[in-house]
Amino acid sequence: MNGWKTSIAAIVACTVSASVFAGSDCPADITGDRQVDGADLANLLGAWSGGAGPADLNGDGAVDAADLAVLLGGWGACPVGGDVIERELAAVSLTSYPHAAFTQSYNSGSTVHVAVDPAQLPATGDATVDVFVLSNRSQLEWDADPVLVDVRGAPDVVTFGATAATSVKPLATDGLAAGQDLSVGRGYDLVVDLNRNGVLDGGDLIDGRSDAPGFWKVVDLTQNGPLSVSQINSFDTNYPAIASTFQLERLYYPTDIQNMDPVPLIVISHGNGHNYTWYDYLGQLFASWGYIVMSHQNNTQAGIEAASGTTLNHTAAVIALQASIGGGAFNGKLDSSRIIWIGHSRGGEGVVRAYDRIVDGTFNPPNYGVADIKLISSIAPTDFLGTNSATPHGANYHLMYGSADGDVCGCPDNDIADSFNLYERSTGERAAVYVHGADHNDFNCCGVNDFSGPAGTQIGRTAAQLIAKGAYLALVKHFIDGDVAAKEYLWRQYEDLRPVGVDPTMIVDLEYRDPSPSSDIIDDFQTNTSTALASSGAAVAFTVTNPNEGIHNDANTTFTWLASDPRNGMVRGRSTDLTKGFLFDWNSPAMIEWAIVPAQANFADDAYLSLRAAQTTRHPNNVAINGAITFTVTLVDINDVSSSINIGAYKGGVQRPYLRTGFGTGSGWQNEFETIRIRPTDFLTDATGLDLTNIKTVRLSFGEGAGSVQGRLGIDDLMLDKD
Amino acid sequence: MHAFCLTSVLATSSALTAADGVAPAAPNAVPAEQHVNNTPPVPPTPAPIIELIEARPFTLATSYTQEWRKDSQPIGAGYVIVVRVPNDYLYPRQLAQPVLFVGSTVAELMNVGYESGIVVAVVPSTRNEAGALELDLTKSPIYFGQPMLPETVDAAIAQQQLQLATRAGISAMSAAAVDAANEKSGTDGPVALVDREALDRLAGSLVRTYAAGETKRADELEGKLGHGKDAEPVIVKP
Repeated sequence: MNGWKTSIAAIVACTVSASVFAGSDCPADITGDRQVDGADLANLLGAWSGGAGPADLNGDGAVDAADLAVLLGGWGACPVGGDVIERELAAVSLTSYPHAAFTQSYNSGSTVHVAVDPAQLPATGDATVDVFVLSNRSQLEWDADPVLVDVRGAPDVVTFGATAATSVKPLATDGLAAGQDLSVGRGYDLVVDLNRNGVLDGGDLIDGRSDAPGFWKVVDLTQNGPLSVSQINSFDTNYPAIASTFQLERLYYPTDIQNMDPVPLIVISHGNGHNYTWYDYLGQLFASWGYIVMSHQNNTQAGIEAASGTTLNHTAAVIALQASIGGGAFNGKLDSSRIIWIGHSRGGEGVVRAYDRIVDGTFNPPNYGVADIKLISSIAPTDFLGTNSATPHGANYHLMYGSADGDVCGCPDNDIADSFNLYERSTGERAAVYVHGADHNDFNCCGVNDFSGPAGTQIGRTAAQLIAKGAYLALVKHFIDGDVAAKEYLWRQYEDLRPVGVDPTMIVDLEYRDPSPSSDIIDDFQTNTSTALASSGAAVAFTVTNPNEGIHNDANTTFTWLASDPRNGMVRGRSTDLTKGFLFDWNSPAMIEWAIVPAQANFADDAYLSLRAAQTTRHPNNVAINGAITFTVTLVDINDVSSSINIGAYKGGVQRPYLRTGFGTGSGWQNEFETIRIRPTDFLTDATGLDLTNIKTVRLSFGEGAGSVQGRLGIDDLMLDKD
Repeated sequence: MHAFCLTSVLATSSALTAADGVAPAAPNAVPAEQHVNNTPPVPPTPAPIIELIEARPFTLATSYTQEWRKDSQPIGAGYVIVVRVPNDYLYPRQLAQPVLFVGSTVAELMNVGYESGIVVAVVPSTRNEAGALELDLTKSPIYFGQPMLPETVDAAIAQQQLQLATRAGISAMSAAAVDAANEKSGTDGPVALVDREALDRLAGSLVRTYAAGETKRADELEGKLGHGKDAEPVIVKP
């Protein structure tokens, strides 16, 4: 590779992080095996009289006697020294650029890869190294004890290639233990021992030198946890504020709870015609992982206000009555400062309304407050109350939804049926799970079969509930316990990471959004409504066709594609809602380009570049593609150096909408947003020379050479995430 | 976060084709005949009930506030009625359902009723100075009004629903039918109940009698759940 040595120099010169590769401490080691020996000499002699290259050890553009002198001067083992290099090393192998996705969470039984980029870390090029997997150590522990002890008994011996593409290597990690106590993940550190001396020292690479591990091995999130569970089938609260008809609760908790610290409370509010006894699968899941769960009778028939009242009062009741429930079985062990509300259908809107009532002061709970509600989750909620009353405000919010819902259908003719309206109103940290082939009552045990969709696509209750269990455990662990191992399950493409117990044929779309100040918005289309101006205030240029910026609200009552309804399939907002995005199409190469304001130009301190995208249903361009759509993301720096990644590299692409019929001609239901997050550092792979500290443009490219040759997409929430 | 700049190395990039890394395509269009829809449409309204099976007038010593009405007043008397209706009007749906009215009064449904087609409902009534119920079942049609949430119904909406029902030709039950329904209750005059809980128990007994398959709901209403063994912890996952 020409310029190999020059690249080293450039790396050394341009280091921007506090703990980075310090340059080659063994310049004569051409082969990278930490030995200067006959192999290096042969390499140098083979390049004799040549120009710049690996054998040009002094970098003067010629391989000559001066280089030979350098080599002979360094003969023998390379010295131990220099800095330990902290890098992301644990990775998923990709079939195209950037060749590896550096991720944190790996399923139990799956293979972790180690990935390096020799263009950025020349010492790794063609090097044979020992790769150690160690139980997670804190930084202090690493400082105190750098001896490498592989949890598997011995390290992997790995030989990297000359490029990033050939330096993604599988590790024997399938059998690593997953989970630890009540954490779904077990943390490990990963070390590339370059000098193969069994000690973390100069020149070695480490993923996880800080207190956080390099990667997590995660249990099957669809399975119940390690704790024994006790259940109280029915408890009559006899609570004065609750109507006599709705007094009953079912409770679940860890049997040994009296020997535990106080645990969070999860409240389940059922839907209309449903029953408080229908959610054992969630109650037992959560209790087995260390939570108290209370599912209550819910006054949904009267309406949403009534339902919200039962949620509010039952929450108060279980806190107030814990001394008498089950003989005081969990008395003193309910942490009322960590409450989660989960509601289904009308109950799903009810929990949102309940929160809104506390916020607007029309309900004052006697023994908890708005700050104690740490998470609200709605399963296929209705939207009777609309913009101002069915809003999660800034609460952490989650939506679970099945594409074959025959009840709260996501239909274009009825805003009440559009569950995503509530999701779009959330201004907090939020996540959504959209399950192809699941119907409304697949998320309880016993509701009527309301499946509506193409024959043969019904996944059924068992499959839907496995998906729900996996999603909910990740959700609660992330939002309540700050369990880092769970977070990637909220946003990585389902094709890439799904709970072990979920059948790989299941199609699930995930949305996730980190709110400010954890994110820096480039364009969320909420402000600066001109298509030529981003939310950041910077210019937007585009060559895509039929652009449209506005509310995510389908303008008519059908899903038939009509040019007069450019937001077709966007059943995510009423006309009174504020959620907005950008839609466009292409039939030939086209682009959208956002200028980056100086305050946002440093991408080096951001964890992810994030956006969400959705195919617009039944549009002829998408019908012709008949599958997932991909496009390319390009960063351009101040020096006009650019680097590009096709989103398809991370698997999945932008999913085709569920092929449900009705509401006009054609097949395809509501538009399905998916979140796409790319690490800015991925754009550096193969030493692109991109200066991440000074990005001037983000460009999305469409069409031949960039991804799908045609299509129509909606995009939204282009932002930089810190975490 | 680790970042490098490599000014001496030219940028490289690669792009995928549409097919790279994505799930294989499935058939793109679904013939309408292959579409399954298990949810019955909301039936038309206004619509009459099929039969008034039983009607039990009641009074309460302690009134309660009904949540099935926007402008609800304290309820101290009324009827518990048992009616047979077309099942689809009781299909448990999350979107708006047809609301059961007696005249311009919203009836509170006490059971689901979808499978049996029989629903037990509490119908509030005011009393005149003599203490008699003012709601006259021989003058008030029993019908399903437009789909909506009962808690949104106020006097104006209720009156509008009654007008629509009347215009549709839905009339009150005959005196003979009402008499038969009253006689079935086996009581002479209103049942004097203590409070709403007692009313629930009464409704529960009627659910048990008439709504096949809803014994659990009857248990709930009759206060048979939530106490004793039912409220004792059991280990479900050792």
